[in-house]
Amino acid sequence: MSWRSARHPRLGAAQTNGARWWVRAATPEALPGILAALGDAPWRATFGAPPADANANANAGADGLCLIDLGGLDAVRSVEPDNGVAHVEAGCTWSGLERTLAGRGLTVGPIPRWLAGRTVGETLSDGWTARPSPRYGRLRDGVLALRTALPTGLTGCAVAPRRATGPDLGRLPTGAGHRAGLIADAHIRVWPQNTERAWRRLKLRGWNEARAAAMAIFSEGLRPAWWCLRRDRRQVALELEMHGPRLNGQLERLDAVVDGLDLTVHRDDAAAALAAERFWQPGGETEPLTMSPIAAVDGADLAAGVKGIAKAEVWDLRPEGATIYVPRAADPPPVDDDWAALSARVFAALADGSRR
Amino acid sequence: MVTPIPRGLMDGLTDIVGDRLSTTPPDRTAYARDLWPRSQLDRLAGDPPERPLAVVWPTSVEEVAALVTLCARERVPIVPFGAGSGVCGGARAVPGGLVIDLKRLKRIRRIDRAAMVVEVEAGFMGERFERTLERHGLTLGHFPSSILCSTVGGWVAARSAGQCSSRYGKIEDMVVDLEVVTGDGRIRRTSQAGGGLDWNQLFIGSEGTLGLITAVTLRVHRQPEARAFRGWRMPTMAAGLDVMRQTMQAGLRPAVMRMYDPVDTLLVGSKDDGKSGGGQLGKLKAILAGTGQLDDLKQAATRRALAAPRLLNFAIRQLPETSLLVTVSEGSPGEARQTDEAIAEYALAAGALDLGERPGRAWMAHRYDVSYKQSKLYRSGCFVDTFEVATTWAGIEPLYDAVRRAVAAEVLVMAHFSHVYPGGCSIYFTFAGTARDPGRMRQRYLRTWREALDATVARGGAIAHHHGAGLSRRSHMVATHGEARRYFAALKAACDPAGILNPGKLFAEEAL
Ligand SMILES: Cc1cc2nc3c(=O)[nH]c(=O)nc-3n(C[C@H](O)[C@H](O)[C@H](O)COP(=O)(O)OP(=O)(O)OC[C@H]3O[C@@H](n4cnc5c(N)ncnc54)[C@H](O)[C@@H]3O)c2cc1C
Repeated sequence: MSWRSARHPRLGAAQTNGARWWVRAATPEALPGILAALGDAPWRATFGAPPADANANANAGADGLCLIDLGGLDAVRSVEPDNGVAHVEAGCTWSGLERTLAGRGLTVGPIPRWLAGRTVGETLSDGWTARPSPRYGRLRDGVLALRTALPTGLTGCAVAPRRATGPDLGRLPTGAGHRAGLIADAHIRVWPQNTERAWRRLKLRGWNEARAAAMAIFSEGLRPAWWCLRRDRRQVALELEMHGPRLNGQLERLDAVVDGLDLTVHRDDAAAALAAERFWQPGGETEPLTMSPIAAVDGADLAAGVKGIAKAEVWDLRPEGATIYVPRAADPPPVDDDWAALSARVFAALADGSRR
Repeated sequence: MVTPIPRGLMDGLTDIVGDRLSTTPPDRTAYARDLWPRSQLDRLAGDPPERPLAVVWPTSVEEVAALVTLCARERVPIVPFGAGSGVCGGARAVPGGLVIDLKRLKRIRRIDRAAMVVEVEAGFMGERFERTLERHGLTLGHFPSSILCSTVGGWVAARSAGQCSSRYGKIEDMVVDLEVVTGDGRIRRTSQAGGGLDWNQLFIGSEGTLGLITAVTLRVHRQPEARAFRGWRMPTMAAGLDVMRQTMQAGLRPAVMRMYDPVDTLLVGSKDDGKSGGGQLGKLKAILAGTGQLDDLKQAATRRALAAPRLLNFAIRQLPETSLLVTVSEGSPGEARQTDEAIAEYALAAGALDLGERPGRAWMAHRYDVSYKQSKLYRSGCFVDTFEVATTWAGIEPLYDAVRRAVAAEVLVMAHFSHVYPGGCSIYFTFAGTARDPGRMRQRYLRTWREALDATVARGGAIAHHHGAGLSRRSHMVATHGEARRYFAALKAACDPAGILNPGKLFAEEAL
């Protein structure tokens, strides 16, 4: 059954397919009103129109769920190059944002292909937004301020590089799956675009050797735009990309570190090819390769962490740990029960408080 | 005299901590407050802070958990206490409450050189911690001016920043894992949460209101092999701010970039040595920092000068615009050199004068020259306090002007700019004032704070960069967070169902 216009008992004009409702938000500012009108009625966020037959099976019964579509909220509201900030609505995709920024000589940094078509709101709300960049940081750490819609209004705080005004309340919606309100828009850290780039590919004996090589580079104070560890026949490849400015100085230091390592192969063109394959490129809209984070490794023993995982790639390597990805769709690691119960208490208290 | 403390509570506490408990007046007086200047003014005005019921010194996380469980059952408020160096009243006692001093949780549990992390208990004192790491060739890179009198747990609880934050980040950037006792008495580890909420960032900065932090796992770094020091005389403040911005947006990571406004530049040193200024101005700076001597004559002269703040601030505005920028670059020899050279390029292009290494070296040598006692100015009928805010680059000068204008009629005000990030930096104001009597002095002090906070909120700045909110900024927390205050209320309800953890701090209870 397709969607048709109808009057929702609380919202007024909306669309229905007989089982569910669908309403499209026109502006972030309209969202609190929608949530307030819905009251206790169930809702879920979507980004873009749901398929025509979404849950329209007559036997499914009218569950009354309202799909709040944030897909229309896709504007880049402002870009402030001096402040290094872009104000972007939740329904904007990362590639959409990058396209706008490119016109201003700016970037959010490398965007993994598997995130490029997803919206800012979706990625922040599901929390696993580990953009693997030592230089540009994780995507969620680049959010300087987040506005969320509650039935009582929009949250919001000063756009500042850092603050000490209690817990980072703007973080609560990150990873909350919209249970802490609807993410409406965000102020995101942007950087001057770098035209100076260089790639390196080093092959080492095993995972732990490759990790140690990466850590030697890190200790030299070098921060690649991205780096990745993956198996290459019987060895492990460490591939990375360096960005300027002052690229030559960085490469001198990098090469000095590399000279001290026990390496077998050194092929930089392969790392450039990996970048083209894994990261969104301006103008390139090829089918994304889905990569999913499936496990976190704490500590230095990467070999133990990847053991038994076919086609494992390590994309979020830090001294204290790493994140293992696989080239397929997979559920993120589960939340611990005790913490899940505490989170549920937070969401329940929030719902209670918003009703009052 | 020993306070009447309910028998059941006393027995329960003794069961848990034995004789590591005190109800004596000297201990209760000592633990009634932290270093919030307002408490000193209250005392001078004959209105000293209330004392807690008792003080306890647990030695393990299990003891902390048992204390919280007991207090939740008995509905006794708890104030967690690190070293009491907080300057916002966060550790000020709550009437009828128990102070839990965490300083005896002081073990380093693990140093993992391969993963470059260290797990340390919350009560470990800052300077001892850094010295211990140094022996292992490591550093946390966290150097608050209060390093000698603050704890690791206090840093995390108050979202502290060290002097090298531009390279190593603030404390919230360093935390890998927290061990926390929440208000239900459970011991939790944030690293076990899996996916879902980012619990580290919710407990960091919670100032004892959501849980007691008992241990912290922190990222550490190799000790820097090399340092490059530099001082620059910038033709204008705007030019200096631009050099700071360009440096950070180029992805460089200097350890220190610190620029003094024209008046602070004068006080810091006519000899460009980055610290002890020559002549009377240098002495005034030392007095404001609480380290200078104040004889009777100086006391009278300082009071007279501070009695006409508007005039003083007007005179200051006529100063030449030049500002001293101090930089320290560190890391491997290559990184330190390249960072220093890059800054030099930006600075020279902005018309700066290279002052050589001296200002940077002098700053480093004197960087902890602040007093841990309340400033001697208080004894001479004056007050002094600091106020640090943060905003984006474009907002820095307007915010600086707005705060100065807002308080010009009340106090002498100066500032420096530090803690630089790609998106902006912090402004650290120092203000000093006086009034005819302690009561009026307190009123002036409170007016100054209110006006400074109003101006910051109006300009869209963050009302605190690293001192926290405690009680001093509570009045403006709702204006700052707006609807997000409901998040705090929800976190509080979930983590502290009995409402016993540092009640009334951060947000007034009626504001939630
Ligand atoms: C001279 C001077 C210079 C300073 N310079 C700096 C600076 O450069 N940078 C900076 O960031 N700050 C600075 N401060 C402020 C202060 O030192 C910091 O806020 C510091 O982090 C407080 O640590 P503390 O151990 O003394 O905590 P306390 O003052 O004891 O407590 C601070 C707050 O945290 C809570 N708390 C303490 N420990 C715990 C715990 N384990 N679990 C839960 N809650 C806890 C308390 O209840 C209170 O609300 C300075 C202070 C002074 C006096």
